[in-house]
Amino acid sequence: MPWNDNSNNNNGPWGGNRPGGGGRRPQSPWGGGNKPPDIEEVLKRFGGGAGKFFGGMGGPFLALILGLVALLGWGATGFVVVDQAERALVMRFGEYNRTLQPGFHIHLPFPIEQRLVENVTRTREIDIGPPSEALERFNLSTNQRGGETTQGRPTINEEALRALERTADYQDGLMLSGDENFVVVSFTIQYNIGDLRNYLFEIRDPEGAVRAVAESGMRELVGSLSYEEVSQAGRDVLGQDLRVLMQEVLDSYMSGVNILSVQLRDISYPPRVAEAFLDVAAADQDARAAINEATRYQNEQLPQARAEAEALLQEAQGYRERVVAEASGEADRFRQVYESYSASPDVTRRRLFLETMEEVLSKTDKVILESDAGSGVVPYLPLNQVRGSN
Amino acid sequence: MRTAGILTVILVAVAATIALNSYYIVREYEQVVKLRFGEVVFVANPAGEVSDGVAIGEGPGLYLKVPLIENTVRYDSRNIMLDSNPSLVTVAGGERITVDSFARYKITDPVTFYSALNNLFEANSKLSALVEDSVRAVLGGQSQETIISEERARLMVQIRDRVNAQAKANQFGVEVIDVRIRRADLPEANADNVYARMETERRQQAALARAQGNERARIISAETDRQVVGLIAQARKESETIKGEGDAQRNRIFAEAYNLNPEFADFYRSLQAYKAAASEGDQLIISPDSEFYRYFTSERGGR
Repeated sequence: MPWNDNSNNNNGPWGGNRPGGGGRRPQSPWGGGNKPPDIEEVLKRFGGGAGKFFGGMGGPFLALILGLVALLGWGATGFVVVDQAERALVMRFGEYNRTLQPGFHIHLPFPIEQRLVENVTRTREIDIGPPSEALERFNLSTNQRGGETTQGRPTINEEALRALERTADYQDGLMLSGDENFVVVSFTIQYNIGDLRNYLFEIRDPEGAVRAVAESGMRELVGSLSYEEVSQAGRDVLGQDLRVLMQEVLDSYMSGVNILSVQLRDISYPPRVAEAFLDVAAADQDARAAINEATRYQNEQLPQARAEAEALLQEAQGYRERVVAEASGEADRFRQVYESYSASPDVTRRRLFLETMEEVLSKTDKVILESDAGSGVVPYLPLNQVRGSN
Repeated sequence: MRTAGILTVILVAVAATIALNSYYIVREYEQVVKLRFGEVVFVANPAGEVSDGVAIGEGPGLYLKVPLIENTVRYDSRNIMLDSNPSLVTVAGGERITVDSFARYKITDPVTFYSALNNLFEANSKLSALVEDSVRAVLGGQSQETIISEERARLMVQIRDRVNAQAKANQFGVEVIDVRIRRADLPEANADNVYARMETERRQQAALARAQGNERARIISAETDRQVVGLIAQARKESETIKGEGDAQRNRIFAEAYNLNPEFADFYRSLQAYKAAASEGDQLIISPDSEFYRYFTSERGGR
């Protein structure tokens, strides 16, 4: 027994010298001083030590224990817990044997049976195109505000624009429409695993395939539409069409991928031409404003004119009434005078005449001259005025 | 005893090594080529048709080999992505566009694949060249619209078929399943043209909208002005008529009254006129012979 053996106090169970045992020189764990370990020596000591260890202890029993532990360890390669969202494929000597449902399972250990576990129901996402925030900087995202046009014209920061245009995301999203206009599309693919066997056994790098097919497919679709069609027909139709196209292609690859949905996050014009595009909306607003202004003018002028017209008419009517009333009054006065005159004409005539002339002549300055002084130069000297100026 | 122990260990180790090397497992997604002294003698789980003369093992599973003398090369049996470099294609009209495509292929005949291409790296390189070449051949000379538009699908099939034909001719041992145009981009200069055109179109649209708006506005204004003038003119016309009626009525009234005795009317109205017409300061030259002064020179009023 190693602990009974007093002859080699400096040895550990594995043989060799313990550090700090013999001399002060640094020791390797395999013993031997400065020389590199010798294979034979090592084996000898190993074998010797092990032999001593086992031999001394009741060797078969210990061997059994160790054997069982090793066996258990080996068997444990066959234990697996399959999560609710997962499925596992078991291959026996490499050949597909069965699928494991969620739960705890034991299968034959490696390399007899080998399992591959994969989450099948989790929704995986791939984003393609620039994120909305990047576009919002240039006032472009039509994602929010239900597609209304925004007020005001942006001043585009040229540097920021170039930085955006250099990003891979932006280049992924920049596409040509059928009528050769640029359009920036951002979309998200959501998929999960439909057929696990195909997914694991038929296709290499399925995620890469999904991405490549998505990019290619979207460009194909956008390229078949005019710019107007793309921006108006919009997101739902485009998303549906792409989903169908992608599923078709991925099925032809036997990818086992199940495309759940394609969501269009943004469809917009490239920021480089933002000013011109927003100008269109601004122009519409300007046009509307001009028309409104003219309508306002109309609403102001017409009532005014109508009022003026009315006033003219009223004035005319007033004139008519006045004139008629005055005339009636005068005519009545005449009639009454004539009535009273008719009773004694001569007397009344003479009296009227004298009364009138009295009034007239008393107002005026008179010069009384002989009537035959009317021809030739009138011999008249305005003494009044001469006297007045002295 | 020690020597025996060591020997046992060595023997066990050697036996184990030999045992581990005498078999190989071929998984569902693999195909394996077995070589003896560098020559292909067996294929396990091939993905497609294998050239004649080589023994085939169908399906995945456990296979045996002679250790040390025979060794294996593993290949993927799945659908593999081929990413090629963008090709520069000259379209009708002389412009050049950059076409970025990708392809999916399978190693169908691993035996010929082993001798022709040998590994995925080589395969990628050689097949890429084929794809780029075919892209140029099929798309070159097409118009830009065709490439970008619905014809795309048809063209991609053409490219695929061409690549496959060439791969077969070269005996690569692969089958190309699909070739897709990922991107067809315009070179810088053209892109600028497109931007310029997009801008111009929109600016024209904007200008048109503004012009139409202004025109409409002007029409409304002019209409309004015209209506205003019309209203006033109409009112004036009517008011003159009304005034005329008034004047006519006035004349009728006077005529009616004065016709009772025209002579007296004349007399009466004249007297009114004299009264009204005389103002302070007027100078009148009167003869004493006037009616007014009848009794001026004689008490009997004679001449």
